[in-house]
Amino acid sequence: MIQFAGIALILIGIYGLMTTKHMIKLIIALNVLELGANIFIISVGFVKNGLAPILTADVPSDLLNFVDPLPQAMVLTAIVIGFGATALGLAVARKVYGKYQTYDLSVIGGEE
Amino acid sequence: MWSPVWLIVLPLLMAFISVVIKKQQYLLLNLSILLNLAVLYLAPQGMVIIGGFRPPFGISLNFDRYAFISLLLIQVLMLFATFIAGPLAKKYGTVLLVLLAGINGMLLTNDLFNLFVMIEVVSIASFIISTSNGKFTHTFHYLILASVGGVFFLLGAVMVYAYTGTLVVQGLFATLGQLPNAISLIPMMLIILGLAVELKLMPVGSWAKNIYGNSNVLTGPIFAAVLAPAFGFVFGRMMGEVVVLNPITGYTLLFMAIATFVLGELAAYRQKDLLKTLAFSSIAQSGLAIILFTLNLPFAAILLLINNALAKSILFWVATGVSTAYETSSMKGLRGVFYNHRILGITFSIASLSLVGIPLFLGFYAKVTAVMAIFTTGLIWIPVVILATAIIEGAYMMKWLLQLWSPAKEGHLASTEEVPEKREALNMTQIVAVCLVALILFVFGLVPQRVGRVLSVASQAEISQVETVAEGGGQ
Repeated sequence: MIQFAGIALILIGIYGLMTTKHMIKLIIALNVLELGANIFIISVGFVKNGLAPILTADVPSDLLNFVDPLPQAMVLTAIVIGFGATALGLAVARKVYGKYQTYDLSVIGGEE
Repeated sequence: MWSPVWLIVLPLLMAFISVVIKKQQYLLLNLSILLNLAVLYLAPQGMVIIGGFRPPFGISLNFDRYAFISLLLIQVLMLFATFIAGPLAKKYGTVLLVLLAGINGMLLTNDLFNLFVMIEVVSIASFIISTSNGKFTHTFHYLILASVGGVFFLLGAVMVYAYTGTLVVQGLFATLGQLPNAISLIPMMLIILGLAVELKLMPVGSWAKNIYGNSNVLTGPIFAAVLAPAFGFVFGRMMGEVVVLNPITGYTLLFMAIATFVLGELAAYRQKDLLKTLAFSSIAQSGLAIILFTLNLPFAAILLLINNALAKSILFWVATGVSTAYETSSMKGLRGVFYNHRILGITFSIASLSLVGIPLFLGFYAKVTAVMAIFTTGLIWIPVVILATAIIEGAYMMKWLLQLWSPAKEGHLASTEEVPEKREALNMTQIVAVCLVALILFVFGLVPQRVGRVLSVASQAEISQVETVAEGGGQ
């Protein structure tokens, strides 16, 4: 079920990227796409009724029913990278706005 | 002591230091590249296990002959590119250091997720470098496409992990090959699509014509001579060790690459702007390298990547130099410009002739090797397409050479009055640096078999069978 939610968000993100020319909306669509991908990745490591993969005194050492920690570590990294790309995208969009007074790429047209 | 880990750590460390001592960032950049060259020479080749965690529990680096050749090419061209770019490289010193660390990591890593991280590091650094063109909408276009490509690559890598339980690049091909075609199809498509943006494959490589076509003395050489071969080598590694092609993915990739190659050359032929011509030529050549890797012909592909990297670096240095000096990159505005800049003209001519594949140049050896190798695959129509396209490439490069050397209009005799007023395109030290790269390209063309012998070892190492040489942080 979680996987379908992730795929749905990925598709919404792709739809947004293909249908808008507004720079801020494009960045939002990219973030929706990244969020969908992150949810999908988390779902890969999901185990029903699984425990957190942290070894404590209460957890038996032969426990097999634990959530895979690797996809979570991947998502953590992917979130940071996505944050960096978003920040840079917003900075570039602000530069474009400063030059053309609009965020709409269809108004700006081809920049030569 | 001497470990390939330094190739990533040194530029990253220098990048942090350069933030504190901004005035020295250019010095730190050059120092880092020179130290990297020393590490390349001194570090033993093999698999390096980081932190003592053996694969698949930790990240390892694969420093084989293939990685060595690609890293050597990148460090040398980066050194020349930053030297020739001068003030621009000083301004973007920290970003260039991060870029270098990312590229070295991309070429060394033996982990699929780590490769994604390195690709993203390189992408973000290249977005920032592309802003030096002053065309922010082009940077934004590039940023969106590359970010989407990154997400697809990540999804592909995660699916590979879900199906195989490992992210270790070495040996992944064999594991994935055991999966049914229907299961491996989607992750393979996602990985290829993710890389396709940076490889400039049509239609997702549309950003390249704008970034290359408006390049300056820093961005042109960095994108065409450093980033393009780096991603080419990464793609080669992926094709050798990870990507399992079935008829659907194989032919899709092949047709995308052929379309990129042919349409790129046709678009280059139609251009009246020197930088845009070189932009489309770069897109086309990237397509050719992908064709060769897809057909599992790494030796020919590596030869082509090296020839293109050396030739394109010279072409972009000269083209951006003269177009900045004469404030135009149009054919009309640059007519006869080499009459004033004969040394630059000679270097540009050497690079053009090698790119086209004229006998006695490395490009000739590369293209003959490529065509002969493709014949062995039985796909005879592909060499025919390559040869036909080579004629188009030869036609537009000759047209540009004639226009840049002769101030006369077509069909008229030249006179000195028509020569544009002389302006400084590059200073003497920059010209010497361009000449050195041209000399390397020229010498390689004189001894192609010797170059081929060195590279054939690298191409065999593409499917790595190296032993572990260092553990515990590479000590």
